[in-house]
Amino acid sequence: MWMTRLTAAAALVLALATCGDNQSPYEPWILDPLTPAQGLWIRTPEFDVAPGAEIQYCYFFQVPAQADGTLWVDRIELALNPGSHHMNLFRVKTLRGLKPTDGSPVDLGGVQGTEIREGECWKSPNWSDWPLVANNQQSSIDNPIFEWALPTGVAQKLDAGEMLMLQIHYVNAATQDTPFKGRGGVNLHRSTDGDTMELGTLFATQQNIRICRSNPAPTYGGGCAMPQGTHTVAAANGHFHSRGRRFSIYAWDGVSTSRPPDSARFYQSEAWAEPDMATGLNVQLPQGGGIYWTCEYQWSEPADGCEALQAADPQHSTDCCYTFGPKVETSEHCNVFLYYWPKTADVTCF
Amino acid sequence: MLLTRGTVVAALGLAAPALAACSDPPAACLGDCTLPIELAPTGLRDGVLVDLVDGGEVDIRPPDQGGFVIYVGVRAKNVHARGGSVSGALRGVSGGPTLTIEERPAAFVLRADGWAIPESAFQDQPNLPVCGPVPGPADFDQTAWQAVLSFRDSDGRTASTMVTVQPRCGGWADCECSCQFDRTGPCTPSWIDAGVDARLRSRSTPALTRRDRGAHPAGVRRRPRRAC
Repeated sequence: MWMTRLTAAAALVLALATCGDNQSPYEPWILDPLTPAQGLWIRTPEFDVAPGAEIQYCYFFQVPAQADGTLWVDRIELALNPGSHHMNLFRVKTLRGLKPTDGSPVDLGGVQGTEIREGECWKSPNWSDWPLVANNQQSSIDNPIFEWALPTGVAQKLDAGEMLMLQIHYVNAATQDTPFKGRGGVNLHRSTDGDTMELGTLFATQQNIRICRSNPAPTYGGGCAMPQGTHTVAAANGHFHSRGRRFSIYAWDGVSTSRPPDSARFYQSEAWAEPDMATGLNVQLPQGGGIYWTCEYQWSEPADGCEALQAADPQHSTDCCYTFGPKVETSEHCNVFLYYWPKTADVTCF
Repeated sequence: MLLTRGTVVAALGLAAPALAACSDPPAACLGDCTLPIELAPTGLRDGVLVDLVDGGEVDIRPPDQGGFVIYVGVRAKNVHARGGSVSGALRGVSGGPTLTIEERPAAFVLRADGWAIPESAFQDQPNLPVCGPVPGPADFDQTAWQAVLSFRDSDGRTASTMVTVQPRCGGWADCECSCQFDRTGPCTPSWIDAGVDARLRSRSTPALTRRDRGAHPAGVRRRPRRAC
């Protein structure tokens, strides 16, 4: 414990020393490390995010050996230095261009892992079937740690030896700024009260989106059917970039072919940079149904002109269109992160 | 100011031929907007936009973002096409649950026969995911599904049409294996899993489960680029 606090104090001194004329008193967040009996913890190294830069790093690590082969997690803490765009934790499944063995060794505190910076870490097909474990988009100075206690009786199940990937995205440019250094931490607290209901996750995204000068306020919507069974939504959040104005998620009956009524809406956020993570939802989805979500956008003039947008546009339109992509400055997303119980499948919709 | 205006005029002069060549979607009514909207189904087959009739095949394709989708939409008459939106849903031919649904803004261009057609077969037709956890016993590939297609024009007028479609994998790498369409026996993927399963599978290649689905290697085939 004292070592951690000493490290944090050293980080504080380093942060202040390397932040030039930034006079804001910054106190690094502190998450206490966990013993193996308490769960699993990792801390990424600190890294610079240069002015004008947008970076994405992927950290791979395996769930350590467990006495009974399984780690049941019923409380999650996710911490980020200010300036992060997102932190996503996935289970690694199909390997394509992004492989843990291609990474550089990295000390993640509670475990050893590998790190891949940029490159394949930006390409979403690489993790298209990697089930979501947890995510966080809150990284304010005042509230750097997101803590979530899962519903009573519910826990996330991780197998010993299972490969996980923590992905962190930082921006220090026109749309978001990183005043200090980038850094992330995860605490997965072991359930000790006999939770047996497994938490499931859903990740959904809209494909081929376009937000163009000539059609500046488009809305995209889609439905995602759940597998057979009864499901209760425990938590959810939406994700888009700075052209995003409103993100909504509805319970969908799985029959209708149009957007559900407003009365079915259980999530709405208008904060693109720090979108709300709604917990404690307890929304029962209709049997045989699923969710429906919408992303409403408002086009805005890109800070650095339309050239980069045009280059990324599959149609190469001169209409200055933001199209699907991971870069906050030049592209857009429309993603749902949702947590439900009991788990019937790892759900991906795209 | 004069210089600025002169520059603008010159720029417009240079841009005019390009704009004309790109057949900018018209804002005016396409057809007679005092008449009901006419719709007919469209889809993507063999990489190009085609008119669909019942039972027609449509491509299952991997978008750049990952996963697998089909592209089905509409052509329209008697509509204000600019600023409209199109939605699509898939369900069983005899009804039952709706498996996937999507709504998106759509840009149209005027075809020589007077129909307004999607400007892009990819961006302006609903992208319907067909490789997720499907409730029900059937798979998408080699199975007919009913596509319910709707259009709302910029005046808020709506119309719908339906067509049965048969999604097919075609030649896309890993499509059948990844989506588990081939149930005649084990398939050997061109990829492996990671983590615990990877160590086990490195010694053998058993039949895959539905959860093992994957996607194409990036860049196997690319969508055609449009001049506009």
